[in-house]
Amino acid sequence: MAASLGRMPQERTTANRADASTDTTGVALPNEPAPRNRLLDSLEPGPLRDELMRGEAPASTRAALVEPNVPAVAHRLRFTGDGREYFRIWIVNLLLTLGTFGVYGAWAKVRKLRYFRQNTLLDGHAFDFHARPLPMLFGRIAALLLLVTYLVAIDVSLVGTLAVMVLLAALGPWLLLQAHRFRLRNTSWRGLRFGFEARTSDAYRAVLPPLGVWFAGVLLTQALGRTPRTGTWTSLVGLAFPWIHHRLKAFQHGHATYGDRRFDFAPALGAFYAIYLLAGFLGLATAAVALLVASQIVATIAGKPVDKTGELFRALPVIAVVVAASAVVTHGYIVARLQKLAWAQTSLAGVSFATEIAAWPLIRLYAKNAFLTLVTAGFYWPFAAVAVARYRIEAFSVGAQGSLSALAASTSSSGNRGATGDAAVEVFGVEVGL
Amino acid sequence: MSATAGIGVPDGDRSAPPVDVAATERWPATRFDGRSGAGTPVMVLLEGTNLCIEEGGRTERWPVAQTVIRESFEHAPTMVHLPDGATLEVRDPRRTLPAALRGAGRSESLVVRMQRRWPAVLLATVALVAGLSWTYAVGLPAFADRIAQWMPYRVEAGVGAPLLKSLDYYVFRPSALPRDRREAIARMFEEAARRSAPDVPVRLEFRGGDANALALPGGVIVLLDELTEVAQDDDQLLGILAHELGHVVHRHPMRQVTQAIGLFAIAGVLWGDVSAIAANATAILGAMHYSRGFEHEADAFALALLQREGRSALALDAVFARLAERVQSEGGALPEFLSTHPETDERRERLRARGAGATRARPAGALD
Repeated sequence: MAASLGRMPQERTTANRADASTDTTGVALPNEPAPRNRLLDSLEPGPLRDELMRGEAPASTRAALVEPNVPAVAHRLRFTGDGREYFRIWIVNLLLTLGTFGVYGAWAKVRKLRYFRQNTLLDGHAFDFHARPLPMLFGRIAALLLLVTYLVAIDVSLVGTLAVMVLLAALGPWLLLQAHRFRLRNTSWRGLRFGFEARTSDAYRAVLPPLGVWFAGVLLTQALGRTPRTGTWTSLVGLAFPWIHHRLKAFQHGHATYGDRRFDFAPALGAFYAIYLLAGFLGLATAAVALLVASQIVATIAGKPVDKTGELFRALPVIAVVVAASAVVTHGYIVARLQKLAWAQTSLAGVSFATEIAAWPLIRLYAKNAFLTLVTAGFYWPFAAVAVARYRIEAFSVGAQGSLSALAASTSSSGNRGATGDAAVEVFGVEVGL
Repeated sequence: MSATAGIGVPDGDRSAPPVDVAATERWPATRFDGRSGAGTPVMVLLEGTNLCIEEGGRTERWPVAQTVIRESFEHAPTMVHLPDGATLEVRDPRRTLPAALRGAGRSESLVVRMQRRWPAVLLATVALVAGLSWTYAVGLPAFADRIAQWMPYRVEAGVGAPLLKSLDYYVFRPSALPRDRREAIARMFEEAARRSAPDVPVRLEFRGGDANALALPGGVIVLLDELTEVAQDDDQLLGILAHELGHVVHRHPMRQVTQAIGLFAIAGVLWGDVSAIAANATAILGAMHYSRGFEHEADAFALALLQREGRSALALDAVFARLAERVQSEGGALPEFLSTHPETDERRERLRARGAGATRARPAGALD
């Protein structure tokens, strides 16, 4: 499946394979053992050779034995977060955030990001998050004002809507650029900052076409009013969504930097469409099955068959179950498949990325989390967050020729930018995370 | 693996436990200079208020006060940022660093200490649950009431006008009622409103649509055509309009808006991380519960108005019965617990009891 989707450049093929052989330490090795074996075979039988065969030797030792142009070692990310510890952090920060009418939220957010970054280890070293809470607070206030302006203006009139659109078109790309810069520049590993090297014009080129399509949808809805045709038109605009997502992902991954190295993203638009298409089918199928089961249950309780579907939809719990089931399946599928695809298409100066994240385990995890969070009135949430982070992070591996310290490079010095973009992106609900 | 692969607890520490832990404990760390990603294995120790970094034979000293030391987490390395741009990634599996730092004059914040202790966490949990319950039951409604009392009707009208406009655009049709019928209804309503709520600016609007009536912010009551067919007589029609007037008098639309904003904000903080759907569902359920209280308040006002006007107090119950019948015949029956309006019967019960009481309490002649 994975191999059939998307264009896969030659040098990344090994990282893409979901079924790459996994050795006992959990380090994925490429499925083409030939170069490794040649060297291994040339070794004298002995403890080192045995260790290497079993995969127990340190990654660097193994890497040193591999021929230079072979992507040899996959460094697994490790996550050391703990549900109980995060629960304590979460509840104290939640209380403080609510008690201060949201002001403390900026501090809580920074702490949360630090918790997850610092507990993520690559090659034995943790990530760090450097943003300070106060700029984030100002960013949040600015973003909230922007949101209120948007909501008020879009309701008032066509002129108001147009004015907001012009404002969003003028500000939106710049805000997204700032958001990416803020997130990445404030993230570090081995004392080196990540970064986002894009010109302002790059941001406008990347973001304006998707904004245009979205605005066309809003304007069409306003112009046509409430006619049956509106649905058709808006769903046509919805067809552009995978294209929008792909474009934003390419912008995000293609301009990221680490030290003085630059990330690269190989486009895979067709694969994005394939994933969304399948997710749509899956969502519909799940909704149909959930509806069928719900109607059986309702009929059993009511003691008579349910003859109208519309009747069922008046029952709030039925709607909730159908929506939740459909959302969990669709979301889990899209997240897993897109993560896998997007990272397979991403590289960083001789370093490749791969994730063994899979749709079904993620869907099961989401379903379990949703259920337990619901029955515990939300108190399970921190445990759920840690479980999802563990699964997603530990499925991730970074493939390099030998040692990852090859990434040791000189930094491009760069100052801190404002947090407004970051908060705005958060408030407007654009997904930019890892 | 990088150059730091060899880092571990040195043999000296493991074999001979130090006599004075605070004074002699060393923590293994990796030092990154911030210019290259290559790390150097070092040992970190505290000497008075200085942070010392031993590398090979050299020792580098920084006053603890000049360093940035990140909050330490149980299983994560502690990050220390030095003034020269270098980072220390300190391994502290036994978690002895925070106490030692306290000795060096760097104590953790109250929040961090709370996060670490289960009793404090338990207290925070209780406070959170109590605070949320109070806010929901008392605080938010009282706050919304205050806001509504303080806000002039004319400001409220600024919210209501665009709302009516968009409802006109998306939902309503123009009213098809004959003009004289509309005028008669408006006259009856305005006279009754003048007597029962003299200071409240209220405007009746007629629109075409399903059997319904609604009160918008700013004192606009919208009556939809089909309701005039469902109501069997003027008493019933006035009962419905009086109910909506009750919403206006008690500033329900404005209170509802304020409460909804509050609920969405709180649910957003509570559930925002989990999912937007969960946050919205919580807020909507909460708002539905609030609106039930409003309905009872509006019913009470309507009963009082009907009484004052010398009309049948049972009319309100009768017209609700007819509306419920209409809904049933269109939608079919559902088990009670699954219905979105489970309160209808309970509410009618209440109306019947109070309506009958009110009618009986009056002198016999007053009914005519």
